[in-house]
Amino acid sequence: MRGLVFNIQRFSLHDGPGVRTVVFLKGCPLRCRWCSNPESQVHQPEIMYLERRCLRCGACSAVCSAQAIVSAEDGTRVINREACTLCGRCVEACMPEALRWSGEEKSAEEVAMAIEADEVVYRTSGGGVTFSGGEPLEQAEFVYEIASICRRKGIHTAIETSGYAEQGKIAALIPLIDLWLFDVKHPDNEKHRYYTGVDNEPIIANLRYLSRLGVPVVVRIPFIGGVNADQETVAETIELLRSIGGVREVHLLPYHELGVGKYGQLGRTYRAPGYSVTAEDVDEALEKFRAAGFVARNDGIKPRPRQAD
Amino acid sequence: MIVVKADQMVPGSYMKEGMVAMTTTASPRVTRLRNLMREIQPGVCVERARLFTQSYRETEAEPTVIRKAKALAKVLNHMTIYITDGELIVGNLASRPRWAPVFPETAAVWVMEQLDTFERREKYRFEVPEEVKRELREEILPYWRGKTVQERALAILPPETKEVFQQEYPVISPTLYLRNSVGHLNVDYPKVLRVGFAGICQEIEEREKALDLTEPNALAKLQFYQAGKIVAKAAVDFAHRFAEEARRQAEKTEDHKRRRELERIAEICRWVPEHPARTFHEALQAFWFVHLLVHIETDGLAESPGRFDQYMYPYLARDLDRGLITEEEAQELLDCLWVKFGELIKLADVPPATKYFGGVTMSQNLILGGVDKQGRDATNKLSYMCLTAEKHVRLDQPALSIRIHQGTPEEFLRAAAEVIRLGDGKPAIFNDEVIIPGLLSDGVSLEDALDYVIIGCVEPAPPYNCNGWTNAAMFNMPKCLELALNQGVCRLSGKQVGPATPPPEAMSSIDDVIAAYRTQIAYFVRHMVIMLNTWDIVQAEVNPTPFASIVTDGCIENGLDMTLGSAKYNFTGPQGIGLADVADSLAAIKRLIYEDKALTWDRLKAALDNNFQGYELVRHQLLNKAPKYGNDDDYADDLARLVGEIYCQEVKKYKNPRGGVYRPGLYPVASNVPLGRVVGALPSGRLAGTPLADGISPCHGSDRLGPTAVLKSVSKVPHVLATNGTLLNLKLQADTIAGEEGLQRLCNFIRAFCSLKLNHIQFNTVSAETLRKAQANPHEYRNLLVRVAGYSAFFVEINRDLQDDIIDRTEHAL
Repeated sequence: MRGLVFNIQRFSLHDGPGVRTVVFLKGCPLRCRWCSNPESQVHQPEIMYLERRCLRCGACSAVCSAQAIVSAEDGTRVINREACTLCGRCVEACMPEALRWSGEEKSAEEVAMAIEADEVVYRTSGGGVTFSGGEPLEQAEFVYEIASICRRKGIHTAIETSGYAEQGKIAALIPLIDLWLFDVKHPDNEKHRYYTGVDNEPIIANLRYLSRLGVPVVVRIPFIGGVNADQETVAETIELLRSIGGVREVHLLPYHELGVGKYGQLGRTYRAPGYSVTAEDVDEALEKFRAAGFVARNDGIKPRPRQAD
Repeated sequence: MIVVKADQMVPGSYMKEGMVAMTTTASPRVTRLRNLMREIQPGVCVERARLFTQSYRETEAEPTVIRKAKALAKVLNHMTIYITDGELIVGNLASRPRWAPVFPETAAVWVMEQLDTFERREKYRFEVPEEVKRELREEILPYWRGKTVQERALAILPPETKEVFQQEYPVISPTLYLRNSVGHLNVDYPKVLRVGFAGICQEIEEREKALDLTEPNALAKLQFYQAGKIVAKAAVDFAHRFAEEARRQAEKTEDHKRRRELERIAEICRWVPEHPARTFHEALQAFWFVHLLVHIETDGLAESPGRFDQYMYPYLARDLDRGLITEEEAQELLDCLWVKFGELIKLADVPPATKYFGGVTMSQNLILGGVDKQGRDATNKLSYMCLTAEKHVRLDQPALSIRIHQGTPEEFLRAAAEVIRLGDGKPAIFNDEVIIPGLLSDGVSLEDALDYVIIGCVEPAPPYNCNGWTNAAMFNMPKCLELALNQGVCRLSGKQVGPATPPPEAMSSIDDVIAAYRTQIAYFVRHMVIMLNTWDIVQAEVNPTPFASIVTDGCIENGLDMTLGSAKYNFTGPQGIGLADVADSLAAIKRLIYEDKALTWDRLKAALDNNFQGYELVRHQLLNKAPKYGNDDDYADDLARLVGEIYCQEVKKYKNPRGGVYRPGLYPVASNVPLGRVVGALPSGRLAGTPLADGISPCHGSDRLGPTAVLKSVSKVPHVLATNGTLLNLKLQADTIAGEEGLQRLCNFIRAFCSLKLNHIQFNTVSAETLRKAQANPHEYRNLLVRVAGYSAFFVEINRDLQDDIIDRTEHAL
């Protein structure tokens, strides 16, 4: 079967143990205000426009049969996303790669082959593959197929998930996924809904489910100023995780704005600037988690999918 | 005195990590001696040239090998010697530390030409006292007119080859062994430690006695043996001069501790290198005399100590066992030797040699670890102590390397990784699992292959017995591609310089393009061989090296100087440069012209003719719409493999006058920058005159998938064919190898390198930002070492364009 992949990043260091290849799957039910991978949200391919690389040659407009690309006064391009039929001719015509696809259909075998390319490095470093997104569980069957091939090849598998999915999908993947990197974004349902667009109840239920089965889980918290980085929320989060039981390890992912530029490239607006936290905030929170008996660490900045420039 | 401490100079957390890991620090003595090396402005010392020339004037009627021996003896008997206060290992190259002697027998022509520019150079500046200039110009150098290797060789070069040699934008850069001696040896240090020069003399005498002088070759052998005895005696006398000097200083000094040290030095120099070494200190001192004398005999570069930890360890172990020395004392002695490596310097030939070598590097390659002659891991205590010496001293020399294999202990790998992340570009890493079979394929015995050493930057060689000519020439592969796409006409000069291959529009497939490329390669390789074989014959005729010969296995047995092919192994190793540029260019032609038909030859040719001016879109098309080597994509990587094979197979067809074979390498020293200057625009999208890819690394910026993809791509290049060495430079972000996790990561990466069967890898871990700061404030960063090519150099001392090239190398997060 085929799935929608927006990036395969080799040599990734913050997405599970050892050196890993991260498969970024496109499409996500959440709309986190701080999302640094906006190209991961929509369930279909998108065309991104990188103004910095644009030579203003006009080749894209010339090949666009929908006349969806027009020139701004300064020669840069404006894409009318409504009119665009996603035929991709403009991407082909764009020599400097200012126009690029985000999201490509690939077969499970193709993806597995790309994963296998670094097999030697997984072996020497204790690494493997990590399915990420978007929300990888949105393409659970696709993940299932790839992970089955990985299992056959002896490659360690991990998944980074928001946890927002039907429990059946999770149940099906449990035998094939060696490590679950499970996001807990906010302990309070109201606020969770405000910041991410969805309830946290199914997420907590899924985490409880995994814990009960004794599946290896690392809880990851995108640590964001004004959202969940205050002392009170940290305390609530600790309380929640304690009540779930079974979770031993917590990683904090510091907020960054590396993805802000991509909103513009997709013709969208960023809604949440300025949520940064200080190193002290992170250290203080880590102390709290440790005091509560968790193995806690700062997992550095989650590397964004590599742009070629 | 301004001393910038290394840890103040290179900010960043990894520095602190490295410092914490240091369990010991250098002694005040070592620190003082080390800093002295960084303060001295290099200069030109006339003594050797004067004494050597005097001797040559006195011996005109004698055989060359004896003249050479007598000249060396005269130099050793009369040159200024000194013992710097605090030194424990003694022996100097010229009248002052970091002053360079002159070797008129090879260098008279270029020294004369450059006499007034040595002190005006922007980099590699040498002070030349007026009196020295006068003496060289008026008294010494004129004697050598018409006698140097360079003049004699060019006089007999066949006309067509001479034309190729004189091309304005050359394919071949073969001048190192034309304008200098060959060097690039790993002589038999352990033999001198074992039997002393007394023992070697005895061996020579026995051979001499056994000669039947009526045999046709016996008289030549007799001459060689006489020369051998002259230099062996001169070596012993030289050491005795240091014994005298130490005795003299001991009598003068008020400092009791220093007096005892000097008395010890006097005793040691009285005993070694004449007799077998009995202690670690004697072994170190004997080693240094041998190493030094190889450097005084000729201006050859890249004289490798080789497997120092293997042949020195028994002496250390015995002293430690018997309680004759503490580990701290042994470490300090070793550190003192490390400083001495940094004291040696030779005059660089600018222009044109530094155009191709990017600076002076002595490349004293000292290699640690690896397997022993039974294939077991050979790492020992001294291997670790050498890494510690490197941490303590941190000069550009020695060129430190390690050998790794599946059985390399994790502890040793970690210790080496800690040194790597100091950021000095050392040690370089060599893979036993590729190099040993490669040497076997060159006809080296299993025993010698297991015991291999590295010469110069990356060249594997059997130990103690090889005259390998490993850095014989640089061969510009992208220039051959340029010619193949332009009917043999140089795009920069407009002249017909290569064979008239068909015009590209007449080529109906990529196979035709490759065939034309192969024709150009074959033509120029052939002329390169004619050049190098000419130099080879003339080196033997006018520049024998009796000292190096008596400490190289095979020469005494064969009774001939090594320049005549008497060493056990004889190779000639020219390097192909710019593999990635050719591979990316072929990939672009194949994809865009023949498969996608998205580009026509007319348009591509026009773009190349105009260096892409007015053809910016074509350039972007070439850069972005075709596969690139370095991304683990078989499309481009298979072409890279083919490019490597074409060069290697062509070179391997030939033999040298010493009875050896040609061995191809794929590494650049630092020539990728200057060689780029003679190449026009390429279908890879590269602009005319810009640097070529270095070694077998991908083109700058074209590897987009990170370091594992680079490793995979590079692993597809024919390492086993390129037996003279390949080079992979990887720049790593310093912060990703910081801390315990970072250290482990680096070790894991090196293990992956080993499993993927790559030859060599080296790391630059200093950030581009730091390098830019160093360009802006050179004085503050004068201790900053970086990996250039197969060697480390002080960043502020290398040419600006090479600095820029190093900054440009793609930086990977590890």
